[in-house]
Amino acid sequence: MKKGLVLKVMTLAAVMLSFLATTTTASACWWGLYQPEEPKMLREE
Amino acid sequence: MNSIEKISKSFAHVVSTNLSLDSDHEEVLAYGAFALIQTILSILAIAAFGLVFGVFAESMIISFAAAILRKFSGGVHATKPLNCAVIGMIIFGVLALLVKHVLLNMEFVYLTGLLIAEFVFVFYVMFKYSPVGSINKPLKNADKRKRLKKQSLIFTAGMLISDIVLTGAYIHTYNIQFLSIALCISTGILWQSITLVSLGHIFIETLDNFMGGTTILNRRANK
Repeated sequence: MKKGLVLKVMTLAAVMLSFLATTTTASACWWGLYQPEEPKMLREE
Repeated sequence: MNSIEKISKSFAHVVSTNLSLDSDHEEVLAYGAFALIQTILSILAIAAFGLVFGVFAESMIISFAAAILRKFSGGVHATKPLNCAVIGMIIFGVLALLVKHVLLNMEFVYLTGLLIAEFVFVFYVMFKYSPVGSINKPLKNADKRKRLKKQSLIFTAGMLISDIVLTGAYIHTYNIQFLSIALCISTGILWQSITLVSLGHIFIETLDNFMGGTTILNRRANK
């Protein structure tokens, strides 16, 4: 029961963070004045 | 590695371990977590400055107008997340104080002229320079560059319409809040357009270097 809830929370976190990472990559740059290096998977070559 | 990066990577590691994800996905999660934490910290820093100096609403409007345009137009960057939060807090705070205590006390006719000149400058900069990449995110794809330039111009046009409506509302009601919002929007997008040209680059680089950064590496990476 507890393990199932943890898994759901982790899945939700993964979906939200992946969405945030993808939308950030689609834009010209970061929200603020700092731009970290993009992950390999999302980098345009 | 800075502390925000450490927290982001630790959190991403916990999530990916629980969901049995590979290292590439873990990297994406860490990037997303970093975006979330950094954005929240930047907003909190600007909000704190605004609350202390009595310019909360002004600093929020200026920073959001600049940040949204920044998503399409890019611009110069600091080399450390902490520098980003501190520089953002100082700049948006000072601009908010400028709007509240200087611009709002100016004659309306001069303000109108200033707003027109601001928008002419912003449109020119967006048309000529947008989007500007950085060393960590060079913008090489021609289609993407074209799309971002178009979005920058559309957003600026949207802000121009908002400013016209707000200024019109001020003329009809004499409610200073309308004029204040219009000035905050134009100040935010003016500041963002300045970060696309050499003046903004030199200014941010100077502040960043003063705080121990090395922004010289960020200069117009896509040019």
